[in-house]
Amino acid sequence: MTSDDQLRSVFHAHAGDAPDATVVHAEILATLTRKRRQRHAAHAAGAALVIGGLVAVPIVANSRTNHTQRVGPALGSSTLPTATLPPSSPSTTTPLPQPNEARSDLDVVAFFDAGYTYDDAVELAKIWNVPDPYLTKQLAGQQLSDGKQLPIAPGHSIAVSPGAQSRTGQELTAFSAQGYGVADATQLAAMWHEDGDLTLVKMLAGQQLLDGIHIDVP
Amino acid sequence: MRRMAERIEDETEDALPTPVHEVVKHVDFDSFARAELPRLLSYAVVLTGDGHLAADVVQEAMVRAHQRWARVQETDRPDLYVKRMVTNEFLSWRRRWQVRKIVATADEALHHHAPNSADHAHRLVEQDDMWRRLAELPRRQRAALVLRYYEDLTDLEIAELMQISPSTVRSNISRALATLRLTADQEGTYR
Repeated sequence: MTSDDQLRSVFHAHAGDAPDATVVHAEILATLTRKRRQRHAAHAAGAALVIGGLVAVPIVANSRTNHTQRVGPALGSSTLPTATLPPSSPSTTTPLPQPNEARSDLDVVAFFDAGYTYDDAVELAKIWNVPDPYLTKQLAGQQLSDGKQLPIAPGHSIAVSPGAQSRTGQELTAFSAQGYGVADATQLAAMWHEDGDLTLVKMLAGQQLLDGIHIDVP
Repeated sequence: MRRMAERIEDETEDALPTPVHEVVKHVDFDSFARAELPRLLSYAVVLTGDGHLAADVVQEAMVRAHQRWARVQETDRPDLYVKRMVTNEFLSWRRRWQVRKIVATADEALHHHAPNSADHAHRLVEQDDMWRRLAELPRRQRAALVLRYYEDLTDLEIAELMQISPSTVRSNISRALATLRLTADQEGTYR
């Protein structure tokens, strides 16, 4: 055997020792999802700090009208920014404006894009006394799209309840279990302007499926 | 004879070699990852000599590729773009590299798994010896050997992928082969 042949033989023999691509793929997707959430959380925290520093004191001092007051943001707290709250009742609020049906899907996407999760929606539904998590996501997404802040920070429910993190797996499982595949995710990604991140699209779609919402793929 | 690929735009505007496999343009990162990961991981395990390190290197490169996916996707050869990223990741890898050790398979284990053929068993032992000596080469020399003898690239193609001159490629390969021969002569296994 020549030295060149020997080298080729050795390299090709050991190429078969490569780690399982499926496992590495899953690790890559998990890393990307984690980075995205960290980015959203950092962005939201930064915005809360800036807005809180500039606005909180003047608003609280000056806005006692119609038996309501504006509550300034408090980072990492369930009293974080700022629905309209009745006085002396920080844990309940009046209902939010009615959702705009025409933009509902975009509002839901905006909700998740901001780093919020299904469990955050459940938490918000309790705060706002809205019966449907999907409607809550629409309402919250409208608030975010309008530049307003929500009463809880992104990922708040995960911080409160570690078990909520497993939700991601449930969403992905729900998506594939109902017969949707990569081609469907690609179509949805185009519709939702999430090209390049099919995992997020699958998660979003999976959340809707778990909420009992039918997804139409063209 | 392999021809040079069209130039691929990246930070240095260097060209990359022509592929061995059929070129398929993937519209999204996820399908690209599914299609290319097995090939990238095989390349990486030969490059690094360690399955865990290969997974780490490929994962790092793929995450960075995702972050700049719009740009990667615009290139003529996203697969080669990412392969270059894997190579660079290996060449610049420091974290955990010092503590990882390449553990060669014991002769007894090779004999145990090999068929009842003295020649086959002997060849496996030789391969194992070679694999162990490869692990001791400087990373650039090893990368040059892998690109020539596993990827079957020309010196010019290797130079473009490693972003060094063709003469440096030849120097790296020559030194690597000399080292392998020297250590083999000392052990009496390399012919």
